[in-house]
Amino acid sequence: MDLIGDTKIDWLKYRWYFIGFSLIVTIVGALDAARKGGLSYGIDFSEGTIVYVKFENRPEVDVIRRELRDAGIEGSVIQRYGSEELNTVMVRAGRQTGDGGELDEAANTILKTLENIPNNKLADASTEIVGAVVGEELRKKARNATLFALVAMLLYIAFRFELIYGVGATVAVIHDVVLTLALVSIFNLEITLYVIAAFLTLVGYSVNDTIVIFDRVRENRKLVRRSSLEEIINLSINQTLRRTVLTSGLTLFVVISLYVMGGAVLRPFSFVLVVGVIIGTYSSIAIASPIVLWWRALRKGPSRSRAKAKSTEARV
Amino acid sequence: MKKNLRWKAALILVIVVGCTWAFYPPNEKIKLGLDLKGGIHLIMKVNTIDALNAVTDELVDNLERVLDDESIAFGDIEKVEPGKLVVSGLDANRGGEFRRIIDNGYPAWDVRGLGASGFELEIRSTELVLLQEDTVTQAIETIRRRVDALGVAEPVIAPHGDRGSQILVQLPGFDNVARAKDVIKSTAKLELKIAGSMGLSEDQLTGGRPLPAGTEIVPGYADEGGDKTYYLLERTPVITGRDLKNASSGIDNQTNRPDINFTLKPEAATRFQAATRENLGRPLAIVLDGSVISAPTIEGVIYDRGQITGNFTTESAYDLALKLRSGALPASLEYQEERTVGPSLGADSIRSGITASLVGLASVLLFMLLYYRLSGVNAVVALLLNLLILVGALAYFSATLTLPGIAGVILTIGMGVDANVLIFERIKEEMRAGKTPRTAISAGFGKAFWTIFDANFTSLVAAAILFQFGTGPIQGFAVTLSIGLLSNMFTAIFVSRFIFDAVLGGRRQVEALSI
Repeated sequence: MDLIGDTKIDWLKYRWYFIGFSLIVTIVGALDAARKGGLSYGIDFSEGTIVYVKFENRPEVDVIRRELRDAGIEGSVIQRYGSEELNTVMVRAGRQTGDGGELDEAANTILKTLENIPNNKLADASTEIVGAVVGEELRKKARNATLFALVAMLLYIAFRFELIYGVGATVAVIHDVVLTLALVSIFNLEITLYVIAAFLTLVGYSVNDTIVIFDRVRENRKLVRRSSLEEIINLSINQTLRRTVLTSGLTLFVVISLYVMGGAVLRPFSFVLVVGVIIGTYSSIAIASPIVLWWRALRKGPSRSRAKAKSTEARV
Repeated sequence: MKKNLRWKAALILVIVVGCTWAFYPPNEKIKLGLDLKGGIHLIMKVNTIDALNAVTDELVDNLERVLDDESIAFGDIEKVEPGKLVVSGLDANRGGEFRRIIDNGYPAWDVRGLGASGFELEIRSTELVLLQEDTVTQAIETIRRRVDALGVAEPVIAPHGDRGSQILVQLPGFDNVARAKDVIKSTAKLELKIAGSMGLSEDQLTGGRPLPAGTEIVPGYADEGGDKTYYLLERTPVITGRDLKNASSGIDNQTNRPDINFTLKPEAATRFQAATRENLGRPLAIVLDGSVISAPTIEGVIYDRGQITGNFTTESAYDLALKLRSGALPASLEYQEERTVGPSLGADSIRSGITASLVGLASVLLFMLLYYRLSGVNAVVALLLNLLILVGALAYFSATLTLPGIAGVILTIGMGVDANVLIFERIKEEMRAGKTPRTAISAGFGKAFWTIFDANFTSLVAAAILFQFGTGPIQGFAVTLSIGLLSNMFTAIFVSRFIFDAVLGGRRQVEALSI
């Protein structure tokens, strides 16, 4: 059984449309993030407030979560606290954009909401300030580790293929992260530790997908020596297209089921993965491959590009 | 069955049994994170006064040295309270010079004149706040390193309370909470000091006379069940915990008792070499948190490695090595509150997360069966084995499973399909090119191998770097990813090929392949 037959699509012909599309999404995302004053980080990344409360009856964490979300409190961590029969709950939440961004305000909103939980009453309450779980040190380490990992990846691909393939794959990965971040901003999602895990996964997926195509290019360059690199890349993309559709389709199916059925808690995580799988697949064709081609054009045909430059000058 | 198939079958069987054993029974072997199961909630107070004491003592020592170097005569330098010290009997003509030294070298301190020859130094209030914040931040980093080293994944560690003078720690359901609390709380300030005489009381040591300059008396219990002993030590340590490059626990060859082996940073090693040469035959006291734990005699010149002996159990030696590796706490901690906490996700959230993961997994398996028919069975077996290895390895490394972790495992399976798809599509291509099933399988696996290898190995390289340079959650992610990639390569290439060979191997001629 085959879903699609052999294809002969000239993918590289559309490269300017691809680049244009990616640029537009990036710019829109950047403008959106600038308008909102940067990306919004979850409770783990910033100072927040802890509200400790005691209910008269047994509290349900899911009910509290729903009520808080209805009251506009986003990204809170809700936990039963102390032994069961005490009916105590703690809520950790960050600054809320809705109410002037003051921590007291957030604590007040939480308290008011908890007072009005159906079928329950508050017996006791107190609030406290809590610092960021992910402090500056941890952020710095995570940032460095990711950068080093990207460099190591580039070097490995350069070693197994050629330097430019490493550059192509790495630029494609950066492209995927930037584009997904843009969408995270546009869709008003918070960056949480869960979301960071999703980003790391997406990097792995994106590289994997790019290498499958590069590997085919490497093989085809030995088999069909007479074709131009552009033809070989197109051929390779088409030859691996069936696999690309199957793998991405199946992975996408998994993350979409997480998104749809996984509940509100997993939604930002699965959103990044859904978007990431699509963009990661797209970038192998639309970003990584054209980079390899341009490099070749730059190195092999300086005379041709100079001639082109002359002709444009002449026209001016 | 051919001989080479037999050992492959045996290897696969060993792995299946090993992984099953590793995670069975799952509710004992698999640790669930704070979000799924909850854990303990601790609030600790940081005694920032300790840090203030330390900087004041350091300033006293520094000033004595600086004034000697500049040959400015002085009577005495004394700490009157944490953050405040008094210099008395200073050469009256050189008061201006003294002020300049403080203003330029120690701008955190405010100088006030006390008469003609005395000065009072007090830490500025802005600096005090900074110092307190720094102390809490440092304490948090040290606690995080220790908790990471204990293998407790995904903890919550954050400043707590007004002006962050407390620390909030949440640990997932840990087998041995008492041990975790002990490891977190102990200051682990290590000092190696040259010892003079020892005695059963302070008076016995001093004989009522004042202490010789630059010495101090430190108590300790050097022997098992022994009496409290007092040691006369040089005040300046030869080596402190900061000089350690590494520390690990082991067993002493001579006594067969647990001990700790350490290595020193280069500049400390030079110092240690000189000190041990000068003091051959004298005891070297090992002081931990203000108490002598042992005082072995220096029997030879030691350069960059040494041994800490004492009254240890295997676990306490392991924990002390861990604490020494993570560094000392800048101030002591006090537990103020300890509670259990429930899972941060409600039952409904957990249920829907797990349902979604199972639905995702089931759909992938079903699709593979429908699309690749009998060969799909092969892929399904490979994927299920992949899942088994992943879960077994996670249990073996006592990784803590969180909800995104579960989703990640399922996603690894989803991505693991890629290797199967690559191979099967390659086999189909070869068959379309007119090859017989057997040669097509051989060529398909052969050609897909390097694709799969390069794709997985690139991620593996990245994971290794993340593990090396990352902390806590990042390292956890790297471990899961690496296990996933390795088991993925193993099942898709080795196991799947084995199944093809085992099924087709018995037949003399294979006409068609259900793929």
